[in-house]
Amino acid sequence: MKQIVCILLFCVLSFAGQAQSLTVEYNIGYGTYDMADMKRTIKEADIQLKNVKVTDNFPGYLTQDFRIGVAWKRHHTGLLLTYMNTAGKKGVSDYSGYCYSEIRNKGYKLGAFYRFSLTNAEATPFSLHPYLQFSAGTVLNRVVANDILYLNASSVAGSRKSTELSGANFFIEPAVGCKFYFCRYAALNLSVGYEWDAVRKLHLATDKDAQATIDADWSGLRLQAGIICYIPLLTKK
Amino acid sequence: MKSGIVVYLLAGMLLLFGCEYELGDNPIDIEKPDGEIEMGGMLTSENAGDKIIVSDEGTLIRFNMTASGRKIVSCTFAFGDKKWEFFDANGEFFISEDDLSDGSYELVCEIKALSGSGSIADQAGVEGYVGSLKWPVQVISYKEPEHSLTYKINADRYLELSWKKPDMKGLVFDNYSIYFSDHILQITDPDSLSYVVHSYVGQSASYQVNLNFKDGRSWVLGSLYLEQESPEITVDRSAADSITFRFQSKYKSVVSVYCESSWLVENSDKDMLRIPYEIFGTSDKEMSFYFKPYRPEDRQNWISVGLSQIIPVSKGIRLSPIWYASGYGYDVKENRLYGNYNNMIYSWSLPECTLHKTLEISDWNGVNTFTSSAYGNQVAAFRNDAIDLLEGRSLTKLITIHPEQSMMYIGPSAFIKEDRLLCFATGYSSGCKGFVYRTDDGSVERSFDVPKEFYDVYSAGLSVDGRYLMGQSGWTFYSLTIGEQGVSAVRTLEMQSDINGWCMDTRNPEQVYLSLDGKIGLYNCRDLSLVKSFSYPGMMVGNVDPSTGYLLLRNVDTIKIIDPQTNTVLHTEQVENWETCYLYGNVLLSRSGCALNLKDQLKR
Repeated sequence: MKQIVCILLFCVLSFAGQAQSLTVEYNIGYGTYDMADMKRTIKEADIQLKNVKVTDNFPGYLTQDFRIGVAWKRHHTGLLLTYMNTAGKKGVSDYSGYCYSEIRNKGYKLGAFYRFSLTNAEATPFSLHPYLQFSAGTVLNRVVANDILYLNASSVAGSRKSTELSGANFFIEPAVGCKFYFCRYAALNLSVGYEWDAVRKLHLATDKDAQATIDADWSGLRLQAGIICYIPLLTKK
Repeated sequence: MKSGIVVYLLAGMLLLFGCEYELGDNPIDIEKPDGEIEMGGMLTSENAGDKIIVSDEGTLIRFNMTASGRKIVSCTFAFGDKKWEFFDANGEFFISEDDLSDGSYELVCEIKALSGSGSIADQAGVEGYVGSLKWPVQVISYKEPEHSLTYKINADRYLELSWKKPDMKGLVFDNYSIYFSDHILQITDPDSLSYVVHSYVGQSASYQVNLNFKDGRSWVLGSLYLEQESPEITVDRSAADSITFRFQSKYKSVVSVYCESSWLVENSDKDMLRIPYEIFGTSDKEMSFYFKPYRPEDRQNWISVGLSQIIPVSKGIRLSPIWYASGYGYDVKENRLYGNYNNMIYSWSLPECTLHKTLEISDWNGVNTFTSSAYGNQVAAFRNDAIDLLEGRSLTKLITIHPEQSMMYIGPSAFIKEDRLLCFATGYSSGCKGFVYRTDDGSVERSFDVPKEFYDVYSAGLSVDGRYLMGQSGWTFYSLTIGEQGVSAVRTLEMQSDINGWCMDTRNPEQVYLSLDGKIGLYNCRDLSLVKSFSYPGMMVGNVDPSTGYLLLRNVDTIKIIDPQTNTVLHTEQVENWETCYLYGNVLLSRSGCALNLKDQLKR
């Protein structure tokens, strides 16, 4: 995984010599997640109580995306950092206490992106620039599973069991989008894409050799909107 | 300006990074129970009444608890330091008698029941009601008392069982049970602590006394096993005309005596029984003595002590231990009788007939006849294949003579030459022959043939001095004179009828008695001339008592003892039919081993 990141960094930096401007970008978005193993796990969680049901089944949720890059001519490339999280829960609660099993997944995407503008027009204010984008990198997983029984009236009854998993996925994400320039230094960014986690691995956080039988599959639709700030690197003469 | 924008962006991202997906909840609306519920329970045990009684090994207690329909999750019983916890509404546990000493206690049960609300806590078993129930418990050690059963023979000579009354610890007395071998007797008076067993007469018996209570409890107060104690039976033959049996039993009883398919006496409470002697030579009889309970009502179950004894019933005494004598030997000098039974030779002192000595001989070939020395103490015991020379006083073997071939000795023999030689005649298939053996080394001194006409004799013998060999064959009687060279003269005596008996006069080797047709004749051996004769119709000669010279005459069932000198009958005795009798030292002997001392009767 480290080798892949290094290769991407090398590619990005190799274009830096030609860069016209440095870009800083923030996007907020919405992502859906496959999480097939996780859904099955939460569904099958063994809770010997009546009225238990799955309240959360790893739904899609907000994503936070931060990128820095360089842009020149019709090209735009850089590094990305994205934060995703979702969770599943099955349980019940009443006046006497509660009992549930939950799995909370967090994914930290580290990768590189490349955009190719479909138009050759200049980035003038209020101009629209559609583009194609390809991203790849790794997703650093952090999965915490808790089984909790809490009884109000009892000081001794109740239990809590917590398991923490970690691991890294490899993803690729093709996308299409467009930039709407407010001015020469800022543009509104919209994109839609699909992330596919080609490689998925989880293990006990405390023991890398203890491979988990489930994985965290972040594959799913990615919708993003954000702002790109351009910092010129070359002054036009 | 630009750096400010970047700072704001980064701050916004950090805030957004902290924004995690918020999980939902699944609240269930359930009514919370409150208040108390009624709890109850029922205990059952072997001794459950107003209170639980723990006794014997302990008490098994079964419980069934209720909590107004709620599910009971645990019942915890506490009794002293002991605790039993059950996770069910019913069950059983055992309170051991060893848990606590005697006294009153309380059995406490703490019941936990679920609320039944269906809440998580209810389902987890931590929401519910707690109640407590109590029962009084009495611990009583009902250990069986020490066995106290004893017995004695009371003043009336009955077996008396007695026992001690134990501490009944509040148990309700029902009865004392006495277990006999075939029935059970119950005594309902709790203060009756003894029982007289009238039926016990000394038989092997076992008794057990139990103390039974109304609740079915039974304590063993003791058991008793009595070995058979046979009454003593003594046979007194001191009376002249009868045998007296004396019975001595520890226990009061009656006696019945059974002999040869009839009862001599039945259920007699006398301690003695007298029966007359039977005629001389009568075989011993088996008598059975049955000792039965004294009271007739106790004789229902054939309880008795039975003893069987072989009792000599013949007049006189028995020459113990022989039962049949093939022949007797008699040493007139020592007044000693010799006899043989099985592989033993016995000697008795006469006239008391007390056993003097015994000698085991090498094999089972019995002694056919004995010959005593007229000079010393030597006795020759003739067996089929050997002759044992014995020292009579000590009854020890001196030497065994083994003739060259098995012989049949045909009559009395003689020690001659002051016991240095033993002279005897034999008969066998090739004829009749006389032998003279040396007594010091058992070698043959000489032998001699006898005339052929002598071969037919079936009864023959030597005179005590060895000078005459006499024999009888049908109507003919022979007398051979024996010299150093063998037979020197032959005399024959033809009679008018069959000679039914003859015997030599051991006090006078020159004379021999013959009997035929009731006539007894005394003849001279040298020429078979008649010396004198007597008339005793139906009688034949038996033998001459070497000690007195009295002549024994006999027929089928009677003997007569006469003095040949005076021809007077000294004694007449009825004897068992066909019993062969002898007279030695004034003692009448039968082959069956009976002896009758006639010393007083034969006094002149």
